[in-house]
Amino acid sequence: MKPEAKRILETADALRRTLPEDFRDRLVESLYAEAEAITRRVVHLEGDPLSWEERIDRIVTHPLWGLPLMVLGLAVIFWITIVGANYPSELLAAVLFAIEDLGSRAFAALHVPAILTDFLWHGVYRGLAWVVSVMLPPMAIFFPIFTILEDLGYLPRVAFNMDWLFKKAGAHGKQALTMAMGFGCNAAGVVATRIIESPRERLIAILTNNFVPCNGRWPLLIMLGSLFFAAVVPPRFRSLAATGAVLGAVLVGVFFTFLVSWLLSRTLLRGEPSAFTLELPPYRRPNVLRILYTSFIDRTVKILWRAVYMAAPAGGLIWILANVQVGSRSLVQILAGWLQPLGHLIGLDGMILLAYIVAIPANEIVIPTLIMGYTGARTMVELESLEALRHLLVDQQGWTLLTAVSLMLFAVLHNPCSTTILTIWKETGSKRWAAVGTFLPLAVAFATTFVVATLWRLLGGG
Amino acid sequence: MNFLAAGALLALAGLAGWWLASGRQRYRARRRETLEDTLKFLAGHDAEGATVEALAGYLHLGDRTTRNLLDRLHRQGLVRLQGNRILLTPEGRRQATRILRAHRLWEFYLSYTTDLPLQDLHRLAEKQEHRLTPEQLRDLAARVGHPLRDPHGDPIPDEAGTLPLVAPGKPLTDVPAQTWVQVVHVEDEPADIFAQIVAEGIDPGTVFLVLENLPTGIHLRLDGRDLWLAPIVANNISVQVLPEAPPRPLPRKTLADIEPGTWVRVARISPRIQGLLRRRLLDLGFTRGARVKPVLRSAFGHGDPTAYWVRGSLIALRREQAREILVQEDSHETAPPA
Repeated sequence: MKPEAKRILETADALRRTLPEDFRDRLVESLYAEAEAITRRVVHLEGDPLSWEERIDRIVTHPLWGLPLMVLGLAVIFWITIVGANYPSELLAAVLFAIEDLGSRAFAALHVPAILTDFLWHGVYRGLAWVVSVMLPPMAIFFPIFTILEDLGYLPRVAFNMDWLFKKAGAHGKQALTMAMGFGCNAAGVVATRIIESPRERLIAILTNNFVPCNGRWPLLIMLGSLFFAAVVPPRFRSLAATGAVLGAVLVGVFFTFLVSWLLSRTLLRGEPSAFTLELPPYRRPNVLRILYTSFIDRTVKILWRAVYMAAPAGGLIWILANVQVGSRSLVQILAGWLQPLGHLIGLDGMILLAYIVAIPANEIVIPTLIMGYTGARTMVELESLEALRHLLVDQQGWTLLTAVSLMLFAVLHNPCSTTILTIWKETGSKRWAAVGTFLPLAVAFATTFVVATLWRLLGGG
Repeated sequence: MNFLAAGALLALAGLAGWWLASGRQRYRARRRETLEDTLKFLAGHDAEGATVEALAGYLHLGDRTTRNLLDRLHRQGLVRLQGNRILLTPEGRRQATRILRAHRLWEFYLSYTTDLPLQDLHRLAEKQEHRLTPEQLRDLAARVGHPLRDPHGDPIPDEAGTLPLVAPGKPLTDVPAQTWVQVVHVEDEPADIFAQIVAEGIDPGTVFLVLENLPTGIHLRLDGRDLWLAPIVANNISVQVLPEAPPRPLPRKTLADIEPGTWVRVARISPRIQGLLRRRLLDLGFTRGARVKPVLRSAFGHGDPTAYWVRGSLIALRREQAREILVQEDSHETAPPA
């Protein structure tokens, strides 16, 4: 080292030792003083910038209607998504399945072996087509609406409203924001926990994020809501009843988020609640173009892409399971038979559990796998109408209200998908926490559905 | 079939080898930890030396194991014996200082980057101090700005092993009645006494008035509260006597006590808040002299959290944080927000 450099370093070191204890405080003070001086020179305030924002804040954080407003907002978003996604979903399915027809016919014309055509078009491609047509429309509706709320500055107010509950559970108010992300995708929700600085609270948020049903689990909730809850009300109120059922399932998930957070902060992750600072940003007019861009490119397309490359191999696996015969039965039927006793115990059946095992990579394919298993079809089938689905599940397979309730609970509470598990592993840097994040929800799901099914049967229900 | 059996055997042998190797590694790591803990203990009793019994008690080891350990240290030239007293050689002292530096730097680093409570830092540093290489230590020190003291107020040795000059303190038990003192250091062991001190709100930098000093305990006044400390607790607090009472009466009001709509000025952030949280509060604008007004109280948590208007933004704090921000009445009640 040059003598000059050495002298400079030594001087710096000597000076550093003469710094007062609170030099960091003073540094920030001087920075702010400078900023204030500049502001005074160049910024001129007219009127009270607080007044109208304060008025809105008083409404959205009101003791009486603050929370109902929040739940109502959630319900409206679900309702718009359910009603709005219906038609484009059907249209998309029609187009994509027409492509399947064309493709398989083209293969036949080219004399490609039938088994390859079958595997690629009726296995892999059909899995893809199903996932895209079921997932894309709700995502394309849900994400922009949600991004608008985010842009408005409403979500931090939700965190503000809910913090007292999170505090009681030993968790962090910002967990509300990560849960909101979880509605779209749990893997995204797990990544979003980076906004929580305290390691303990962040782990709680990571391990419980799964209790918020993600986009991939909605089709099932919506289907069950429509089949079992909407069917018993006049047609006019069907979409409302479906919304109510989905909302109920979501609230159950939120309840378990708090319960498990509370349990974790008293057992595995014991500790004092740490600091909470949250900025409530000013309300802003949402920027429509940016919302469309971020919600579509950053979220919808990314998540869809993930679902696609998870669903394609799953589609292939289902095809193989359904087409390999042992004796007179296919592998699907044999495996479902093994799982039947366990399924029955928790109000479900073997086929549903098998569908959930196959759907570990992507929860979106639970419904098509189920239908395929039940109908004995060699490939995933699309049932034309809700009525046909109802006929299959209720009349042929003997689903009851208990099955619907148990399945909804299981769908909300069960283990996260493989992407989320991988994300937990990456974010925590620990296989152990990834295992806890996987098996804890699974145990909660089994315990809850078991208790519900047992009580239901004891009380003489189905 | 033979093929399979051979494969299985090979796999088993591999597994056993791995298990043995990792066991050996773990054993070595543990032995090093014991050695380093010994050096640390001896450094703490450098003036008069320590007895074998005291060391054995500290390490929770039997007398024979302790003697073997000392033999090894002696062979490595790290300790010397004087009568029945064990003393560190210069080389031993150098190594002990390095571990001390690792321990205190790690504590500072944790408090600088995470929200972990003060009580947890010591426990985590006890493990990490054995794992940091000299290069890592250098990086760490540079990253957190070459701190001079750890969060407990203990000096952090520099790379050469010299301790920065620290204002000489004396135990709180030696302070006469009716004196103003400032805490310079809080001993972090034993953990339960340390937790008690922290819970009372006493940290390095805290200023208070000693009212009475009796054999049964110390009576003091801190931020308007009257406290009694047992002598065993007070003995773990080192203080510096202040020549006179602080110029301004220390404010007793905190942000948590202010009614919504009232403007106040920040007097200071309690010294209890350190590291990441202190920097965050400062960055958000809670600096000395900043005008603050509580605006929005959470209706469900009965004002916990509350949102404050500070420097043109709305910041929500939980009561625990608001209670650590001391404030003064604002003399210009009607002035527009700065």
